[in-house]
Parts: sequence; C-alpha cells; structure tokens
Amino acid sequence: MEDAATGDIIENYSRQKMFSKDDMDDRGEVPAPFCVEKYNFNPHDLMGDIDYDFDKKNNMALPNLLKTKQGFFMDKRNRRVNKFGWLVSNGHIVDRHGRKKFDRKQLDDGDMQKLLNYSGKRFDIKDVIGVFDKDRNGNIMPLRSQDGTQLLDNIGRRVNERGYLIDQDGNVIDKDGKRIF
Amino acid sequence: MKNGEFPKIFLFTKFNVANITGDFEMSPLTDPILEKDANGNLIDRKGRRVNQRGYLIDNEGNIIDKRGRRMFDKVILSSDGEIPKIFRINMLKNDSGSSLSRLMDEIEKNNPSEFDMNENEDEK
Repeated sequence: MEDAATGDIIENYSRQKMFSKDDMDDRGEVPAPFCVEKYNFNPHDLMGDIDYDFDKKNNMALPNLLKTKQGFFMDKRNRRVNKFGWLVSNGHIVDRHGRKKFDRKQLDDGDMQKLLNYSGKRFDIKDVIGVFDKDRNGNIMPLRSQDGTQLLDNIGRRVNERGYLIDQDGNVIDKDGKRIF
Repeated sequence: MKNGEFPKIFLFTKFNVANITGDFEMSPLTDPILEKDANGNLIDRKGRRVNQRGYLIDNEGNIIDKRGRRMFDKVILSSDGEIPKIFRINMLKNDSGSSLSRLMDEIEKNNPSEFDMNENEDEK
C-alpha cells in the first residue's frame, strides 16, 4: 500500500512504513530481495482455528469445518474460512488480523497455489504443516515429546517452532516424509 | 531457511537473473571469463566483485543485485557459488522490464480486485 502523501510503501494493517519511496525502482517494485521474499508468510497465520480428522491411509489431516445454515464454512472462532480451512474475506485469503495476503485471483479454486522448492519441485503447503491447537492469540501450540526435546503436532509428528513438519536433521518434509527444504 | 521459515516461491514470483549477474564474456564451455583485482578477488569487466559463477557478491560472498541489495545468502549457494535451481530454469515470471512485462503489470494494475477497490474507497 502506498502512502498518498509521501509515496512510501506502508503496511496495510499497521500503516507502518515498509519501504521508502527512494528505495523503489522505476516501476514501483520493492527492492530485492524483498521482491522475491514479499510473499513470505507463515501458513498457520492464514489458517482458521480448526479441528482435524486424520486420514491414516493418505497421511492427510482433513479439516473438520463448521457450517452455517447458509452453507458458509466457519472456524471455531466464528471466522469465515473456505473449504480448505484458509481464513477468507470476499474470497481473498487473509491472515488472523484480517489483512489480505492473497488476492482471490492468485488462488486455485480457493486454495493457495502450489509452491516451489529450490529444486523446482511443486508442493502443497498444507502437506508440510502440522496440525495444532491455537492459543487465544491464534498462535500454534506445539506439544512436547515425552523427553521434552522435540516439538510435535497433534498427531505426534515432529515439527519445528514455525509448525512445519521436519525430519531428524531439521529439514522441512512433507506428509510422506519427502524432504522439501 | 531463516528462523525456521522457508521462502514461499510461487510460479507468479518474479525474478530476473540478469539483475544479479556481472558483466563478462562466456567461454565456449559456458564458464564466465573473469578477471582478478589486486587482492585476488574475482571481478567482472566493470570491476565489480563476482563469484566463480559470475554473480555479483558482497564482501561476505552473499549474492547482491546491481543496486547492491542482498538477494541470496551465501549459505544457500552451492559449493561453486551457484544459485538454487528454481531461479535458473526459467520457471518463474521474468521480471524483465520488457514492454510485454510492463503491459502485463499495467493490466494487473488496471484490474484491481474488489478488495482493493474497497480499501481505496475506505481511504477516501
């Protein structure tokens, strides 16, 4: 979002200055590396507070969504979500603060487009995140292993502090154990 | 990864390798032909520091763009200074600044989403 008075780029929720007008290129693009990193986010901030059923056959956590009489999906805090569990407003994916993070034109039938890892492999971000209860502020609450040395999701899978599935070496893996990052 | 967070790279992520590449000739084997400064550092034809793959770098070996801004941390480069494959295989939208690229950007700007329009109306 652009500050009409100064031309600086500001954060659309807090209105804090993110980039000075002088830092933008001649087409208004934010400076590198932010042009590559500007889509960075944590998926748990964009996901509703939802209970999950676990499909052991396919290693998939299936969102157990609430539904209004009108047929809209809701999370446990009465926030609108779509069928994938993403927090939505007018069809756009928003974060837990209501800030738009993805325009609906960027989505694939309401779902986030597949991501790419460094090798060019496409993957679904939902396949690399754990499932958790959330605290009143919407932060995930990982569980601790019995010896207290590892973080786990509600299904007992090892995760890092950001809520991604990881292997013994801390690499991010998908639900089938394949290394992604 | 930074603080346990990996970069979110989509097909619509823009990237132009020309912005991080030095000015040099290529050998027939497609290796960059580079010179060295008085301290033995690799440089391009404009005297800018580059690594063995010809990417512009800072004093720590991190890859920077032509404006000097850090693009890739050294830790994610391969041992020969190469950037990750996804940024080399032309899968990403090329932020080329070409007339077509500009046209596509204009189309995107001229077709704001309803959400954007609501935000603009709120500001008024």
